[in-house]
Amino acid sequence: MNNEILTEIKGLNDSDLLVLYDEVLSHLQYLKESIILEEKEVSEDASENQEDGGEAKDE
Amino acid sequence: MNNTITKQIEINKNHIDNFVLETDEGTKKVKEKFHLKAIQDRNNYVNSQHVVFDKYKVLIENELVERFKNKMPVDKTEEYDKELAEVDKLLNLVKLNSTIHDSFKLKLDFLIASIKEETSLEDLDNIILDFINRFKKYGIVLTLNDFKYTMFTEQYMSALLDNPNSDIMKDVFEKIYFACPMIKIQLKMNLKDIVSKYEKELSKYVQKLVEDENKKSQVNKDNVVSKYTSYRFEVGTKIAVDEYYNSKLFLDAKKKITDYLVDAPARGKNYNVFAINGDYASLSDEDKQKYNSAVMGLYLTLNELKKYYNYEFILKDLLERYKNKDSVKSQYASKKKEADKENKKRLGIYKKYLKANGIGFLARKNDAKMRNYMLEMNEQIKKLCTIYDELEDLEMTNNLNKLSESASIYDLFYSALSSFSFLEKSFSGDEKFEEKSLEENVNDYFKFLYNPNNRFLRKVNALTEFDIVSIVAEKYKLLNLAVTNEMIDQDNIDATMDTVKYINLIQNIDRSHISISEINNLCKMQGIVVKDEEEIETV
Repeated sequence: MNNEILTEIKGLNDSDLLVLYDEVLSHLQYLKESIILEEKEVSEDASENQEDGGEAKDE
Repeated sequence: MNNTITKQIEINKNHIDNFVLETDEGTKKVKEKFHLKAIQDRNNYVNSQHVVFDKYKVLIENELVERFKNKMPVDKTEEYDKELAEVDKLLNLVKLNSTIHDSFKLKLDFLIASIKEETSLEDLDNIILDFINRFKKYGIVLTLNDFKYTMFTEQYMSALLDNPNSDIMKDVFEKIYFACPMIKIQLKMNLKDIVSKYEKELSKYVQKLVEDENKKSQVNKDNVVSKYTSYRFEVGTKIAVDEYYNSKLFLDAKKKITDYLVDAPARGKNYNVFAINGDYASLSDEDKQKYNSAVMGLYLTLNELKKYYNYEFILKDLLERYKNKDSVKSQYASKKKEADKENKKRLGIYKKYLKANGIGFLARKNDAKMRNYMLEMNEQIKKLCTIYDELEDLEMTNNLNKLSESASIYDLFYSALSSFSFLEKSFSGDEKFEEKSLEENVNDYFKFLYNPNNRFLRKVNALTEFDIVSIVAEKYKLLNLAVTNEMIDQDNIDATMDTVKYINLIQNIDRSHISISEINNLCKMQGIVVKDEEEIETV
């Protein structure tokens, strides 16, 4: 797979490759934020539950 | 863009954004469990994709690092340095073939001019020894006899020739100084006297030197200037359009690439400055072409004008002198006679001193007379000093008699080279020339005169009323550029030149093998390369 990708990368002109690089960087950022966001939601939900005197979470 | 990575990004995003995190089925606990499991699955997927895209990132970075290395233009500094040295060599040949004095050609004038009141004793001795060595090279062996300008120079030189580079000279100097505070000036005058004494020998040496040097470089008196200007133009153009230098301006952040891109607002703003309708974009293709060609000329002319302003005080001085050139003719001739007469007097005082020193036929030593002649000599030297100053000043004005009525600005500037002392005084009294040595300033002056891109210097008549600002502005107005007198006067030329330089850089890049957008890519790549190198260093 990587070889195919590499061939494609080599086939791109400089401008397109730089655009692709930016896209990959922003996608990596998106992926990073995707995880953090979900974890936050869960922990926030949990803390809300605790404050409301709700059920303790299953550990 | 349609490639595997872009497609994967899309699929990735779709998959993550549409990941089912909730269920309607089951109890609350089941729903919560489902939710937690879904988050875990989604995060696992995200993490796995992070690893994949991290690899892609590395692959692209490696490729960009490789491309940056391959696409970065070659630094040709070494090649240019050699060519520039060749240009300098040709300029020296121009000087050798010019009408300047032989002592100027041999740079003896610079050496003598470097003796000043503030010159240290060590420097003074080195200058004199250098002078003697140079003469040896010319085939003239200087002895104590050549340094008998006054009893003081003889005394000093007798010690120096016996003890070069010795601490003894400090005591000798001090001893002479109290009897003759002008000893440095006297030594300087002695050196000048030697130059005029050996005028014929020096001329022969220079003639042979010019012949040999011309032969070596395959030039002659008639073609040396054109060879110099055309080669200087060739090398200058190469450097101006050099891909490495122009890229480095942006890579080293001396210029902002975003200001130079095709759609950059700064680009439009700068191009509009000289557009006759204030809107470059609205010009037809043909008019744009004409505009660009005219701006290219304007760039060269403003460079010339800027340098002209730098030396304008010389021109003004010469024009003022020109008014008196006729009356100076006779003054110069009589001043020359006066100098000869007073010089003979100096010799007379020296001879009488020798006699009082007990030297010569029937001579008897007489200390009181010796002291008197020493005082008389000091006074005579002061007098001669003034006369020579006046003579040199008159010489410059007198030389203007050689100018024809149709003399150009260039001709007038060139005439300044006929008097070394005039140049020396011109460049010594102005603080803008202080940073460089006299030799460097004179060299710059030569470069100004022989600039291959000079446009008006050789065309404008200097001896009739002229307003150079109007001449330049009118010329470019005729070429349909919006250039006003105010834009290029002394106060505003720098700002206008900044705009012209901006356009000129774009033009130079357009004439080269690299484009602005390619430089833009290099700038972007450099950010990645630098990051990559930093990471390697950290590892």
